[in-house]
Amino acid sequence: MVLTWKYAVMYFRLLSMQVRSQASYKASMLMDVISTSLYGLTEIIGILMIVNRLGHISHWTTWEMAFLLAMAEFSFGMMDLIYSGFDPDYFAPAIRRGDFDVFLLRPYPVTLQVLGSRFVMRRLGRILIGFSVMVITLINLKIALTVGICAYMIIIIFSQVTLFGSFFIFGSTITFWTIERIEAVNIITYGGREVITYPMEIFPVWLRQIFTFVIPFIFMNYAPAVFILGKQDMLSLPHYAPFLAPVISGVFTLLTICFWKYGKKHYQSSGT
Amino acid sequence: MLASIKVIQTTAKQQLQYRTAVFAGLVTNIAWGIFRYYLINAFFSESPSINGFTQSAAQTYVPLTQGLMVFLNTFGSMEISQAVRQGDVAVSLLRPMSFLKYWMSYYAGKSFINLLLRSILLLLVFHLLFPIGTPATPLQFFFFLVSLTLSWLISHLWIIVINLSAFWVTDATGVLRMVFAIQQLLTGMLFPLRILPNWFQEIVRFTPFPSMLNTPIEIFTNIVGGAELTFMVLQQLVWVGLLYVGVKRVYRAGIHQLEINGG
Amino acid sequence: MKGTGLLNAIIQVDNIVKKFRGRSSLFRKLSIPETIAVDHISFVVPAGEFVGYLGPNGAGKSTTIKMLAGLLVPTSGSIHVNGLVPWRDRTRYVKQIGVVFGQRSTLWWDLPLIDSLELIRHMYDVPLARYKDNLQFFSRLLDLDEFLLQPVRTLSLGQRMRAELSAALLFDPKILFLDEPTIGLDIVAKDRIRTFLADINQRRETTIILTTHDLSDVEKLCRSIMIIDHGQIVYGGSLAGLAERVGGSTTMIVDVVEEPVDFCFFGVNKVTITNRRLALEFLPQNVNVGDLITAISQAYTIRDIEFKKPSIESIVMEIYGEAR
Repeated sequence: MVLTWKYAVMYFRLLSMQVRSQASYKASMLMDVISTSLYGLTEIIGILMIVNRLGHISHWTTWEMAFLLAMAEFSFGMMDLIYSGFDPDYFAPAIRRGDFDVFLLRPYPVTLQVLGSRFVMRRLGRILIGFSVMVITLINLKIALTVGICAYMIIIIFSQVTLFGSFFIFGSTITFWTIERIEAVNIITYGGREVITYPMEIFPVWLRQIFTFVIPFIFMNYAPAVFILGKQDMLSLPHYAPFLAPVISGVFTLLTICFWKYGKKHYQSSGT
Repeated sequence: MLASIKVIQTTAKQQLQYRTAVFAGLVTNIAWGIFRYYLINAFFSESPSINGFTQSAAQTYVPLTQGLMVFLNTFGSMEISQAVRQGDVAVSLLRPMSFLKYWMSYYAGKSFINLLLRSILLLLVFHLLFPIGTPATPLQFFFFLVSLTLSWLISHLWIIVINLSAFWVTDATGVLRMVFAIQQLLTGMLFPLRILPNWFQEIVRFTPFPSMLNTPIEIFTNIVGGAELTFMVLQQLVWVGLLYVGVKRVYRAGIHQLEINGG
Repeated sequence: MKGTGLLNAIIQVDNIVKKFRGRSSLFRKLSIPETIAVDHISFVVPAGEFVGYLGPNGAGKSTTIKMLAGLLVPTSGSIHVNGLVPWRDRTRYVKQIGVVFGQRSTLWWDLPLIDSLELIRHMYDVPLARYKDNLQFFSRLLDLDEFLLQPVRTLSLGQRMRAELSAALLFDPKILFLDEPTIGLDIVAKDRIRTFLADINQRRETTIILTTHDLSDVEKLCRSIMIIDHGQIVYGGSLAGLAERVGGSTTMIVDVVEEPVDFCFFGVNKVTITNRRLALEFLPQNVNVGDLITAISQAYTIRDIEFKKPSIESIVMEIYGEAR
């Protein structure tokens, strides 16, 4: 308990170093937040304009689509912020620079230090857009925000964050062997974010099966949205489908943590 | 001219060095293309045509935009602004080659390799997976090539001109990121412009953005022809001219203010 | 240095081997064969020692240091540092060692130096009083005050190295590993850092292991040296012993008035005569120099005598060469 507290304090100390570092470039930080928010915003606006013209896409109305998009945007932004240090695009060069050796030389868990080594504040742009759109859609769709729904949404968002976070850790761990980052990992990270923003009905059966049994994206955003919005499930998923998200992300997190530990061991025996 | 060719050769060679990265990018590109393919197809589930844009055109639109993305540099590039910020533009004053010529040759070398290794390969892969339409007549195809060349010029002249903002703005990266973000929607990279609301199209029409990507794609997919096609290509020509003059002017003004303020 | 079982040994290395697995790649034409970076090395370092660890690039120097610091696990053999196994007891162990890499920063780039030092204080649980004492001590010896409030990225190379040293010593480690700490520094900055290191070593009895290519560092600082080549220790001992080990001969140059014809003396290996000058090469242990001078003065009129000792560079070069 004492140790956990100590670790938490150190984590926040490290984050505060990151935040203060970025605050020393105040002007550019605001600009970065705005410009980053625009990437998500243009996509959301674009798709909403189209759905609005068509009325709906596979039974999903404009605001329902917006809800799917907003959840994904918010979670992915949060993940991108919290797991900044594990972003493979950043981690691979950091290893080459020898940053990892420096972590190994300090008396704190390495994972904690990686998480505390980077905290990209401009991701707040995506988080803010995601959050705003989420609130607007919930109001427009007249979803009653009961305690139950709120708690459920928090669990779902938490699950999405940790699932994508585990993909980041996976992508970074690979670089212990490859030294260079592997671009194909982007398919499950950024590609995965793309996939969960769409209603799953649009995909053909073979892709849906991949998103059900290989990387179960279907249960991460689609099934929960069907549940929250009280929509009819067109894919006849099992009745427990909306509650699988935390289980899935738990399993993936556990697996990647094992892989990460194995990778660390490999690093210490090979030195890359 | 000879110097330009030399620069093109050198950057092409350099880009060839990154071929592993180029191929890796290809894999991701294809995966994204597949996701987008189904999304855009879903738009047509009720009617096979939206505002004159047909489903079969949409099915060709996805691989075409995915393929030409790197060739046209639709996500932008910040190299020049960094060069300006670090004071490397001073070096360009020492070169016997004009600033514009150097950078256009530089991008040409890169784009050439990307066209060979990424655009064409991606289209071939998609051709195996999905039906891809082709221009109806050889003449249409010829116009596509002309329009694509003009798109390449507009896209890169635009990149250069906004990168030059670094002469005046201290944080050009933020500005560029903003422009590049919005650009995705305005050029027709995210969605075919024709299926977006009419009022939106009316606004975008008067900007150079559709000329950077949307025009050659509408020609390739046979959405436009005849007078409309000619008008769109002429519009592209006008943009090439305007941006060319624009880059020259902005660059001169930038250098002028460098000389006054001493960087 | 040899001879295990010293009572005050702080570092004890027993027969360590480090092999790097080869790589056979499907995609690349070259497959890298297995390499033995460190090949059965044993040594002991007594507490308070200042050891220079030398070797040409790729000899296994940094692999050894990485193993000592716990960054790498040896393939076989054992390492005990201050009673701990470096890689097994990581968090406990690293509190006892300070590490400074000459070419890599461990500080927070965009923040004032003081922020990094404050964080390190918390990381290593340094009591506030001790922290203040140390900071004062470093400030005095390294003039930290000059740049304590400046962001690390704005520091000069020399200032940054001083900052890195303070950071590595802030928590009173028992052992300090230095990897090329003077690389790229000018003479004044080098000198300052050397003085500081000598002081730390003497006053605080911090054991220091220094790897460097700059042999003048070693000459000025180290009481003993180890030389590694091809993964094996080819010399371990005092600096003075090094010359003997190589058989470094002394050259005596004698200028005389006459034009010398010939000269012989027992123990002198080589005589070169040029333009009223005799150059005599001999091993110092074989020749009594007084007798030698007497012998020369009997034959010729001496104008000037000069001795040339082999430079440490040439000795080390010779040792590297021997192992080839």
